[in-house]
Amino acid sequence: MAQETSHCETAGDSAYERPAPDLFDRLEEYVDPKWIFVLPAVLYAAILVVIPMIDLFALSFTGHSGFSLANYEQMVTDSNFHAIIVNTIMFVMPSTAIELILGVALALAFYRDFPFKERVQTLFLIPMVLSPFAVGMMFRWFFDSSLGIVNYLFGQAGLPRFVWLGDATLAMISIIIADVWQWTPFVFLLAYATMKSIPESIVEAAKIDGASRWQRFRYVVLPHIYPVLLITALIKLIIAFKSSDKIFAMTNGGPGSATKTMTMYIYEITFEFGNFERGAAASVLFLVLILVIGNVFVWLLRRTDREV
Amino acid sequence: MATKQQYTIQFRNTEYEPEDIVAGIGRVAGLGVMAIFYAFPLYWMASRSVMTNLQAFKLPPVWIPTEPTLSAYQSILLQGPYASFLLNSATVTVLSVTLALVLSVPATYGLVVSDFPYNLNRHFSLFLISLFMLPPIVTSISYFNLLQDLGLYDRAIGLGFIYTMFNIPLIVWFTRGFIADIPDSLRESALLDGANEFQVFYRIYLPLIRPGIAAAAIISYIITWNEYLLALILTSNRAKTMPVGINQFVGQYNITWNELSAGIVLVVLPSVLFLTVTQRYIVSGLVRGAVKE
Repeated sequence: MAQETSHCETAGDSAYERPAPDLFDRLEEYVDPKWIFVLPAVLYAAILVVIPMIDLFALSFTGHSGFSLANYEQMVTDSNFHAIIVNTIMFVMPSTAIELILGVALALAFYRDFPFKERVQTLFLIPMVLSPFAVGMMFRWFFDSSLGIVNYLFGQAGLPRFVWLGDATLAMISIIIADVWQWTPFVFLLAYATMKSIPESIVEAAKIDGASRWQRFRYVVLPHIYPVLLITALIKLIIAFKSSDKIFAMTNGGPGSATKTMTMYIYEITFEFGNFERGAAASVLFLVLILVIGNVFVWLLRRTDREV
Repeated sequence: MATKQQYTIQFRNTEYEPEDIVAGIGRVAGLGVMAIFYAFPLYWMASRSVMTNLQAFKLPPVWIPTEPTLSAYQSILLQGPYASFLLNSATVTVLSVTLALVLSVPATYGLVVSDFPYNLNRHFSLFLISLFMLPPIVTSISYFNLLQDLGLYDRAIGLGFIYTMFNIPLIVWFTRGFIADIPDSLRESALLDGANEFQVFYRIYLPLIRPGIAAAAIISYIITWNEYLLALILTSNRAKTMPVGINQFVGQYNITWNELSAGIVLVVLPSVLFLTVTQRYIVSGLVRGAVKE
């Protein structure tokens, strides 16, 4: 009871005053307002997602004469398609892993104060808000074999010069470096914010108990930030799977199709070769892949006893 | 403990163990390397954009622009189609972020404060948030056909409507925590006083969750402004946005490097300015979205 009274007082103290009856009072008589709040967004999303999905499924099972599994059969047996899946994973996994490690390392470095910390933090956050395509163009220039600064510096240092974007492995490494540049800040930001919420006394207590630097990280800091790191990894994985702007800018999938990812593959067969049916089938398989990965992470999160 | 204390080093009234000093040097060196790794590409683009084309791609590089010139900006803004690309980007972004806010903030409010039958609170929330996982390429085939049918292909409005869909999950996700933090009793007492649900929403909740809305709006703005793939598929010429437009600096035979740099600066500058002014909101919004719940 006491609690209720205090809340009533809060409401009375605030700027809130009994408003005059308006149009919405009339509206409320006909329909429960909660539906008016929720339904527009749900319907909007349903129209732009559910209908396209039905469309997509129907299209993917369409052959020359009605229903057909040919689109899927072709893809499952196509070694090019297998290569595309491998490319996608070879881009998504290493980049996410490196970003997680670097981001946490950076957060640890920020854990203690140093001069100009705020300014340096802003610097590290900038890449996150930049257009991935523009970032790709920048790094395409840096890795250019004749005009790029990377080869120039390699030459100055007496190292061999590489055709970065013309070699299958080096091209993927270049793309991963560009991606690491852009997305490490994201991991850093979330890891750092979570680390700041660790009570200092716990870390101090571990220190006094003689825990080494590594032990303090492994047994105090890491368990604390682990759930957030999982969520961060999931978000980053999804972003990496979804987007290929940087690859469009840097290699356009080349050399050959060495850096072509699922998104680019679907784009190519659909909008360049005009084969909408196969594009639809590839899209369905892509969705399945993303759902599987998403669910693995949800399962991992559940194991940490945390409600999602 | 006691043996450990013997090896400490005094500096400015604080005792340091040798291990701390090694770690400290490693930390400073690591931060330094990272700072250069992050600052260099930004400096490179900004400095190339105020040079002549010859200076811009010269190797060994011109490290510091000696005679800064705005000619690259002049030529792309006055001669090329880039002014209209920027205008398209702005139109699409403002339209979709506004529409997404109008749709999603009330929806989030409704889902947080009211009870729906059949466990719909959970289903609707999951549906809206899981839209984030949807790769745009998957639905782009349908969007392409849809916009063609509606006559909105290659129109800023059409692209804006599509982007709205992709902004919904972000806004739901980033405002949810802010709405849930407001005590329910505030709403109940207002209802008791005779306010209707809509008045509660826009008179009590909206002013209180302004920081959350700001964070959600900024993050949606950044993602929409930078989007490439759907803009590539759903526009061809008239409604082309800036990220796709950058591609035009890479001509058939040669690249005008200073104009490319200026183009990149123009597309990223608004976001960087936004970040420096609203860093607090972005950080708190992102952290709250991911950390809380």
